[in-house]
Amino acid sequence: MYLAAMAAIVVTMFLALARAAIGPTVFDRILAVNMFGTKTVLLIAVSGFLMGRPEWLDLALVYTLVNFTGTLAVLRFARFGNLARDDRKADR
Amino acid sequence: MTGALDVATAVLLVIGGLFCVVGGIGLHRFSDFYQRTHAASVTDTAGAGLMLLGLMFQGGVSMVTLKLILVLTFLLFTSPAIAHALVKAAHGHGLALELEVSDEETDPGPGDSGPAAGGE
Amino acid sequence: MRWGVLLLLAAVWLSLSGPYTVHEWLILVFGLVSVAFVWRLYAALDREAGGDWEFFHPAAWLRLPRFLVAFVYRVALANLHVVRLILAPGSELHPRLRRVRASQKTSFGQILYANFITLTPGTITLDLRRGELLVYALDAQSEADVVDGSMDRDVLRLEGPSD
Repeated sequence: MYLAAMAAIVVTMFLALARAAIGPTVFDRILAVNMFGTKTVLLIAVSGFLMGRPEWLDLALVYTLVNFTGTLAVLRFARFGNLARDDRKADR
Repeated sequence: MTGALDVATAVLLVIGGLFCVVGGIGLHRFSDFYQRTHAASVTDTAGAGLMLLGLMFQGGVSMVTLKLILVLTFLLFTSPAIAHALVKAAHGHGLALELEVSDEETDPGPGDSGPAAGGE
Repeated sequence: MRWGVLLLLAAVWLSLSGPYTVHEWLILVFGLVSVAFVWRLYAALDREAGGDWEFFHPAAWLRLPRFLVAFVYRVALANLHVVRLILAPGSELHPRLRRVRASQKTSFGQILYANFITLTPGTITLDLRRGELLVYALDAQSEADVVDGSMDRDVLRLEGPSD
């Protein structure tokens, strides 16, 4: 059953990757990559149970937060072209 | 006892997996970016929720289950934040919305009780 | 109830990496420092947002289970609806943009409502301004789920009577 779940997750990851490759807008790509990240979290969690190593959940936990920050950073970069400056100045 | 829990886990994992795949399909079936965000939110809520719930049955009452709950909580807080940020950025960027009905240009002042009254 | 936040942060940290052996007291010190740091950060952010920690009142926690049940129910229904939309062959979508009133008193309540709408597949919050949400819905039914105000009432109930 773990293998079936992992297969489903991997299929979803491929679908998300395909969407990331196709685009067409940068937002589609970021959406797809974020979805890929969420599926990675699930994959880590499920495979932890499959391998009898539930402590991998710590990784899943950290990956969730890193995925969140990473997606926001990429989104910001895609919109403003930088990560540091103030929105209003960069938006012009 | 263990058998029943295993069955529950298996069922939830498979259903969650199906929701994930359906969301993945939706990512390709929907025709514009704004619609695709809804497909992604299916995998983020139903897919992730059911799978993590299934794993909780394996964890029992333990630290493992607590961590699963934390993963789910973080996912449920971060995924709408990301979705909102993406959609707002796309909208602000001028990516066109295809709409049947739109309140966007209406004056937010007096007209706001209109839609709630179920008019149309 | 800022002490509630401190306790919550400490409990989360302790459950993830508590001092299980005597040698981990150094880690405990690091943990205390990081909990204190995040707590101060949260306090500063909360002050900036004009909040006053209301959602950490014990009464709000007691109302949480009922909200969670309603939350799971609505998200499940919306999921099934969107799955049907995805799988139905040649289904026509009629996306729409509606303004919805967020009647919560606190900004936290309004944000919770906006998040609730966004998390529900089929609807997404585009903007939140002066107690009004701009909601993008996938079709007429998803729109009706938001416009009838039942989710608004769920969050209102969690917010509770003004105290």
